[in-house]
Amino acid sequence: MVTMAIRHHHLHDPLAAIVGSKYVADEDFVLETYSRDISAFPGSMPGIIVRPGTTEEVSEIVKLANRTGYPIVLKGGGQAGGGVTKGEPTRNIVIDMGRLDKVEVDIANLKATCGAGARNSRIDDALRPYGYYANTVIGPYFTATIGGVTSGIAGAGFGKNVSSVGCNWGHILGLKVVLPTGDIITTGAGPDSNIYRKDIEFREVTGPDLTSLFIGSGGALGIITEVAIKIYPIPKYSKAASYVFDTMENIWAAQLKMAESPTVLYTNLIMFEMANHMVRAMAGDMHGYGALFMAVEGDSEADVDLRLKEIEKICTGFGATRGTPALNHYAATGATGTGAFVHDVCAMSCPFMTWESMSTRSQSLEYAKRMLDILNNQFKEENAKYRTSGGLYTVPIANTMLIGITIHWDDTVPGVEEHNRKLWKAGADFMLKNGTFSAYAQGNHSSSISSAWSPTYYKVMSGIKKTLDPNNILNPGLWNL
Amino acid sequence: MLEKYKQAVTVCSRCGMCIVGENGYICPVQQHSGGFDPSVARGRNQIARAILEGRLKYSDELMESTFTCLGCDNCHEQCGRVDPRTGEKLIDEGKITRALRVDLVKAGYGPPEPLKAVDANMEKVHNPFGEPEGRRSAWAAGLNLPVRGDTVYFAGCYAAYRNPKIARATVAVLQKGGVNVAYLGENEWCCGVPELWDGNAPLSEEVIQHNVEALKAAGAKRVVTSCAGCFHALKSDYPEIIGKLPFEVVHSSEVIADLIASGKITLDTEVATTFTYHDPCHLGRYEKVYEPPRAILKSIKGAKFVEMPRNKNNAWCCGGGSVVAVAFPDLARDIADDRVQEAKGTEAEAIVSACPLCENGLTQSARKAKMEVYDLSVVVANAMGMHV
Repeated sequence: MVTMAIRHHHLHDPLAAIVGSKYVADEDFVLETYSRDISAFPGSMPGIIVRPGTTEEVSEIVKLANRTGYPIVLKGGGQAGGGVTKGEPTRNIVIDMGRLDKVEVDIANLKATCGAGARNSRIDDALRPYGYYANTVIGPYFTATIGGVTSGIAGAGFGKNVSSVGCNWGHILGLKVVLPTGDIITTGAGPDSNIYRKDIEFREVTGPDLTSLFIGSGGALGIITEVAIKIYPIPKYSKAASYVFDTMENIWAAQLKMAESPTVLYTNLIMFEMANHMVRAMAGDMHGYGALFMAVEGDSEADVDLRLKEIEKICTGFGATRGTPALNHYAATGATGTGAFVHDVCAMSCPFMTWESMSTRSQSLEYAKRMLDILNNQFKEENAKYRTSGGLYTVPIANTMLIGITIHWDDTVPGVEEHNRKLWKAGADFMLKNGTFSAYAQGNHSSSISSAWSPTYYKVMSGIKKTLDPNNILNPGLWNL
Repeated sequence: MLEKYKQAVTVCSRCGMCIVGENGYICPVQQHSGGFDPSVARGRNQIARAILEGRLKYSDELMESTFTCLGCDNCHEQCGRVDPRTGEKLIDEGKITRALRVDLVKAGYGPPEPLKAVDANMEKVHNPFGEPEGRRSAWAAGLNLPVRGDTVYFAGCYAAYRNPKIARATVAVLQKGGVNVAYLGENEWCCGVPELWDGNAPLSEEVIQHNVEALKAAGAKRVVTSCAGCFHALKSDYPEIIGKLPFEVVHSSEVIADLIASGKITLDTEVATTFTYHDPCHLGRYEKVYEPPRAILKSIKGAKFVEMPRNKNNAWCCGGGSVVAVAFPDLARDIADDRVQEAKGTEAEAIVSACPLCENGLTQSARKAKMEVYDLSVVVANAMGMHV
């Protein structure tokens, strides 16, 4: 064996001067591990990886990138399925946000200030001893970061009560953001935007809602380094229920009926097809089209029971039968996304690609059927060949229905990734034309979503991008900008 | 060797469940290094896949990174990737890491220098410390232990050479409970854990063959170990490497708990101490022995038992696993500091473990924190009024 002197990337030392050499890596084997997300989309090999520990360090990295012309691409928890942002392969400085993981709890002001790299479960870990929780994300609760969810998912993601109170954007008080020039700004009337304020306390009282500009932007307009979110007392009572329905029409009707109830019946409501492998495993001898899972929470047991009774009335009215204890257990943990069970479901659901979009209530059933047709009929033979399958899930949100299909596959089958990309594209094209494609603000997803932008919308967005990021240093190519 | 795990590394979905779980961060090395993905399972699986697909070559830097893994199995514990038909976990990260180390060494990369010295000692005197073979049985002087018997005590190198109190206490407790204990003496070689983890597959097989033959020759029907590393090696690694064994392998904590439960021994000498228990990875996560040590501690007269927040399958490693304590002592110390601070955060006055390696690793950190660390066998002996 011949040992050779290590030849570092020429940004290694300048980056090490900012964050310390321990937190800079440019070895091939490290770059490899940052080249892909969980999807079948092609990867993009980074040039160098850096793990800053403070907003100021992020700012210095961005300034260095501007001086040297190296683009920046971001990585949160790495759980995204939209394809890594391509940037300029082999030149990108990838900023791994994982060290920005502090969570400061301010009970008196019902607020948690979270580093962008804080995993969502860690935020609740910090709040639980005080009896509080935050709305972050269901599903990749342990793996996704608050920064990734806020920046990379439409509406700042779907929290544990998304179907009762909507997406997370409304829970966000403000953001600390490193702009593409390296300047730091705090939205929500924070100290870097309002000269008299010392902290983020209110949502946008300084001027236009700048917070929303960065939510779901994928980091094209700035790097979110801190998220200040509202926190809520953990309800005293939490119960769960599940119901199995015979037909797609009935399960749909029950969801729409429950969603229009003047009394909010549930904290969260999710539908999965029975064909879903995890539902199948929990369903025992029960058969049918699909199951509804709902968590019902409140501070009065009588109130919770009353709402469960109303849920049962609606579900049985559409011919449903109560789920098994295992299905109920999933409702209790999976519907709120915080249980260990969800932890396993995530691992079993990955790798995946997703078709996730919003459809209007009135068109949602037909829309879902057409998506299923693409999955089950248009690619039937190829799916069998490549062991690719998918499952429909829905979440009613306000006046819309979130409709998703997760595509799973056997990674050991040669050629499967190419097939999945073709399959995904067919669904994405349908969603773009018929619904509102709502998933990841990353890589391939962002390119697809922005292909539907009108010339006027594109002009506005590219104008904002050029103003904020004159050197096109942050996530170049994201949103086709 | 890595080729054997091609399917496992391919099905890793890169989800990151090996980074954070229900009890927070999962990988001690990730927390005490730069934290880049190669230190966690999803990263190592991607690396292994890239190597198998010819996209990545071995290097000294990769070797160093791969050898920092503690083999604590917490990532395997948390990973939810299972075969939906059988429920079996699909990705055994410990084995993948070991295979990667074997292939690295075969390719001429590593092991790290301190481990080369361990291998040289092993070849020469059959213990990792380089101690004379003749001193292995010094702890048993005057005990007149037979070399043949149904129950053979396998002391292991740490108890034999570094902390003989553990060996003496174990034997004394077992004898008091009516168990006739035999001991191989100098015919006992290191269990092979260092070689299983340092990439030296041929040497580990040689050691394993020797020990199995020696135990067979001793007429062993049951082998008792007080070391979690020896226990897991003998119980699970040996049969996997050389086939079914003609004897049962048990950990001393299981035997002692049975002796207490059957009334053959009682821990009735008052020990007015609050204990917490550190689960050794090779006893807990690897072999699922969680309750016997706790049952023992709870049965000590006058003692109080408290849990650390991360316990049983979620326990934080002591930092010494998979020869990291030898190859990267600073890293091991930092991780041991974590564990001791966690213990310090409880009302415990002393940490008890059931593995001499853990005890050794935690002791230095505990000294700084003004805490005591004991091996379970020694605590039991004291609680039986025996001073070993």
